[in-house]
Amino acid sequence: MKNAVLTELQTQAEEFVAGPQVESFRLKQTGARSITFDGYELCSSMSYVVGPPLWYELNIYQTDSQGFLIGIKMFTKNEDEGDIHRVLEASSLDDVAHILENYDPAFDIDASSVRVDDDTISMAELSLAAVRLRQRIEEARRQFKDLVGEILYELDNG
Amino acid sequence: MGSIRINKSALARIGSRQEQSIGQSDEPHQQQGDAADKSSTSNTAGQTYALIRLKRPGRRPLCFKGVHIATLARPRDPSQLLWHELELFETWDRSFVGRLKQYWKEDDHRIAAVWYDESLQGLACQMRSEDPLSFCPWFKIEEYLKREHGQAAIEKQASIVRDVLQEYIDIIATMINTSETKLAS
Repeated sequence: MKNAVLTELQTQAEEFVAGPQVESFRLKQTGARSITFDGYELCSSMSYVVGPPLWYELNIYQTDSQGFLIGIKMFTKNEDEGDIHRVLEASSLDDVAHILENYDPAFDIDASSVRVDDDTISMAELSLAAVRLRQRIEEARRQFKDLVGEILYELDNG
Repeated sequence: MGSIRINKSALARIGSRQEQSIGQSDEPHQQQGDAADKSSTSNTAGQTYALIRLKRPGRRPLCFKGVHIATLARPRDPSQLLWHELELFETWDRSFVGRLKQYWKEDDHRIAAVWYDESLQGLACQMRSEDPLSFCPWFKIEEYLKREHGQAAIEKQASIVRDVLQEYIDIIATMINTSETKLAS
């Protein structure tokens, strides 16, 4: 057990000294073509816990051309609602922070579940759907903010 | 909270922090450095200022020279599922920072909010303008309550809402009372 831990630590140390390896990435985008590039993954994080109907995954990459890409994925348990994949470009780490601080996850939530134009739905049902929609938006914002706070804290520390 | 993995090796490659800093541009962070060094090194209670970095949701960390002056929380009822505590800091230039920590059962805490203001009254004002219910992980709470309390889940959830609102009001009131006493002494 002790030897296994030491070997793992040694491998990590060797990888650190050798530097990161350039990798090829292909990032899927909702409503647009995928982006392919060579570079490094700087960080990845995920907000999945048991309970919530949605969760986020955030990845930050540095490209070979010294630019930065932010991969934002929102996954949902609801099969009628597709997952969201976004890729945002940034010119520096400061720009990455600025983009993440200003991103509003409310745009990732599908509001079509509140069918305001359907006459067969009662006002009570509509109100309930609206409350549920608001809860989803708040959940998305809360999870996204938690991830962004963690990432920016770690990057600033790094 | 889920998981986070940082590729330190790739990050180290980026270059000096000066070139690629993600340092923020607002609030007390700007005031550290030379200006802070020339100011006093301790507060009126004799506590020595240190460089403090606070993680905050959705934003870059808040960095300032200051001291921790109080942790405010209601005595915890063991049956409570969700509870909060407020940590109060005084910055080198006599401003205040409040950090609200949220605890959910035996989970790790999460930072619900961080506020900065030049006065305690201002800090209280900012806190009052927030909806503490929006900090709460309701879907997680719902899932737990349905599993553990079945039919009584809705009543239990209502009692959590009531407790969170009352606790938040109490914390703000305690902050104003105890901190002013503490700072005056």
